[in-house]
Amino acid sequence: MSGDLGQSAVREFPLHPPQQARQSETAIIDVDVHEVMQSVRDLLPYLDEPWRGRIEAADGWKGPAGLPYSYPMVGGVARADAAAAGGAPAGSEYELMKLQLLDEYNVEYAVLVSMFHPTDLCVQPEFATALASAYNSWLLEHWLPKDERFLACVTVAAQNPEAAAREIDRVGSHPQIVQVLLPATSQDVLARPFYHPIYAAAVRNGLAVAFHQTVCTETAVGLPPYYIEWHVAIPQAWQCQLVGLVCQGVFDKFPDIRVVLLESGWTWVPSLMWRFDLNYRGLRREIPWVKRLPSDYIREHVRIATQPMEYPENLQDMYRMFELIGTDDFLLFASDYPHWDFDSPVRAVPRPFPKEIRSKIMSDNARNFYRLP
Amino acid sequence: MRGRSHTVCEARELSPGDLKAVTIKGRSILVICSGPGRYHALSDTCPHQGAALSSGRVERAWCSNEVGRYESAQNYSVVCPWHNFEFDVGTGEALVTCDRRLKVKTYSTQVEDGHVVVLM
Repeated sequence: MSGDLGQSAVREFPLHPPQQARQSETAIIDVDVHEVMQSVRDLLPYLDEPWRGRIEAADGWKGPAGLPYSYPMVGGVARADAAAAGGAPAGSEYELMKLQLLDEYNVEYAVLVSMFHPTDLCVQPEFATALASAYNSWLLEHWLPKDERFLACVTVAAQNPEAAAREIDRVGSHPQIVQVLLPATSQDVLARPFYHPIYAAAVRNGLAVAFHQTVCTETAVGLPPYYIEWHVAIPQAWQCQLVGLVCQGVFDKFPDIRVVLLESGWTWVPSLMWRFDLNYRGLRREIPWVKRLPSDYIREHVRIATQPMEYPENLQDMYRMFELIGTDDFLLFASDYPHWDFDSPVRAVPRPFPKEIRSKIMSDNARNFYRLP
Repeated sequence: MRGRSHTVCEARELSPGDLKAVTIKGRSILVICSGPGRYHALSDTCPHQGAALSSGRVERAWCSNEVGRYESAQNYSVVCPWHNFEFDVGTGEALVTCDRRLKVKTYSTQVEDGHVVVLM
């Protein structure tokens, strides 16, 4: 046979021994699942003038601009098998999500995380505020009633923090709402006192605050030439937001606040805590309102979603990295369904993680964090 | 008071916030005034990486309960000239509470006949 390379040119990556796909033995909690509108026109019933007309017009507003990259992945930004019927975007069909995720993997709760971030507009704060409110109303009507397993976020326009706080107060008491969603933006430090009304509203409504990537998530060099460069380096944006949360006194001012980082990766956490603590020892004088070591705040107030799991060659190293964080409560399982870098609930957490730790990651930590029954 | 007394300087030479570096029995010592009649003696060597604390700064420690607001505490600290670690001049302890292991050695002082005396 021609083309026999002898020794394989591609080394297999042994995450798990070859086996049939298996169902999750116990119910899991997935903290990052994406529902998607078919179009921004879905929001028309929830918009008053003068905003409605800006979208209704034939050449009106079509929605926020996306990332400038074309996706080099075979399914675009989504799993190729998650495309909805008739070309609708992946994540827009409940029945497919139910089939491919909720029922397939024995999901007890799935936290819906919007891909629509009016904060990204940066301009027209009143329009952005109206869009956020419309989205929340759409979500409450069209998604949450479909499945009691769904939990969800309050979408806000952070550039108008007082209005964002009112929106959080409007919908925050809904039993399926568990957190406020903010972008891991590179435009501003969202922990600045200007934005504190949002954290205050989250706390008084018993909600966590989540940071997720958006079109405003950039690297330290902005938007580098290739998508892979962007995708590898964007944890820098979450790191900046996390450092900001400590340095801007959010954890001191709001001692009950809970924060989760979604899709940031997590293996950078130990080194960031070391560097941050070292800097705090020398630069405390600049931020005397910060009373404790940054790593203490992070372990107490912050959780991180597992996806994307970043596997080293030696999986034992991954577990060692986890141990270096210093708490078993830190990681919350996330699939990122329906996106291309989806992590399978039955394969994501590698074998070196002990069974009791795996159970915490897949379910218990999220149950405690979100105060679920 | 135990140990030998070593006269460092006239008490009036040092005002609150002033420091003076001296050598006593071959050791580099830092003498600091934190108030009228209040003097402290510490090792002049930062326990972190060995910088001379006397090249740093003595100040009332900064504190705050509000972002952007700076207030002076009652206690003085010496700030290392290299990495800016802060040490309480009275206890020698690092102000960042996890760093109890990073402690500057302190020595007893008193004022005798208008002179600052260090006991070593």
